[in-house]
Amino acid sequence: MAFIVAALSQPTAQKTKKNIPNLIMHRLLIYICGMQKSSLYKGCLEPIVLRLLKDNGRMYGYSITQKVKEITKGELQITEGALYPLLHKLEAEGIVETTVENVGNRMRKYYTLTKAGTQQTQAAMEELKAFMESLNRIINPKTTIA
Amino acid sequence: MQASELTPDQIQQLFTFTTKHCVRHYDLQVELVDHLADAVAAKMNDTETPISFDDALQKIYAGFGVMGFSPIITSRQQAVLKYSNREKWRLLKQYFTWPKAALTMLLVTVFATLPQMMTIFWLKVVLVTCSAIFFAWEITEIVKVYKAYRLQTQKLLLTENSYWAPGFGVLVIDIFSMFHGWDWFDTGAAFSLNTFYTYSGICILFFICSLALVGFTKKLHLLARQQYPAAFKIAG
Repeated sequence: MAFIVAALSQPTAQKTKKNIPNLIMHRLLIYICGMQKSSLYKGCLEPIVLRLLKDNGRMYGYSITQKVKEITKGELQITEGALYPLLHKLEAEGIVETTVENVGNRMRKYYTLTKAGTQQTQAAMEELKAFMESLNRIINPKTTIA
Repeated sequence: MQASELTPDQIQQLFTFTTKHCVRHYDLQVELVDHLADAVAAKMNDTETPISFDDALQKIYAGFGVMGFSPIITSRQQAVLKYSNREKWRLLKQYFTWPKAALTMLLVTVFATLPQMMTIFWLKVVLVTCSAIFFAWEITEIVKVYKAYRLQTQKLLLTENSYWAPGFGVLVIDIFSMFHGWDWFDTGAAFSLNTFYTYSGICILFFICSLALVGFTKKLHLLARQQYPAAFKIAG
């Protein structure tokens, strides 16, 4: 959270008692809008991949990147440098299992959720939902109260 | 994107490309080549202006970031290590849970009751014979693994660190020396029941660990052969 604190503590605006909450929200939104989309999504990559595997059965690396691109209409592009280390980590933890098959003139490695992976997906989804609700409470405090 | 869009020559070029960029293990190459092939084919088809295979490849590789394939290689190495350790512990724990715990219990019971059935001399004979059989079995397992290694034509990250695993049991010779096993049959050499219990206990533990490690190596090689048959030559 250090970046948020840093963004909030810029000494440019007048900090009167009245405008401090608005100022904080303004700074926060400016910071979030200024961030790269990939940074915002970074912590959500694992739930995204798990959910895709749950919905689509087995997938391979490139198909995951394309599916995300397709669903988000190009808004989110998962980089290979982030995707493969995550897939390898999930494989080592027994959350996904792999099969290798011949596809045309090359081989392809497919990832599938294990039984433990399906349970993990459920937990990850609930965690993500709770996070989104918390974020919503910060961004739209009035809506949440209503 | 269909897999057949790139020619076999271009696929081979992708393998060469990954090798040039420090990806030396076939299992990781397979995954990266498949990704590159799809991405390059999509790039070559999607761009309005004609783009060559080489240009498309360079553009796709640039998307991997300044570190290139390095983070993926590191993550794969760490993942294989983590998987290996997890699997070794799982296999070892099996010898302390039913049904394999029966073997452990049988060994412990046999060695615990032996002193009531025979003299010190015969206890020494049993220990030396069991150690020799254990050592010989370890050597045959090492030979088997060596033969399996000879059949592998490509380096695999999956099996890379598994070749030493069955060699663990040969340490029994060191334990034998530590307990002055070579002097047991000398007149006047110290050998008590405590020596018998301690040495046989350590040997049982070593034997169980060795069984788990040999099982791990076999499982890993079976998995490697199933997943990457092209990395092995057929046994003649």
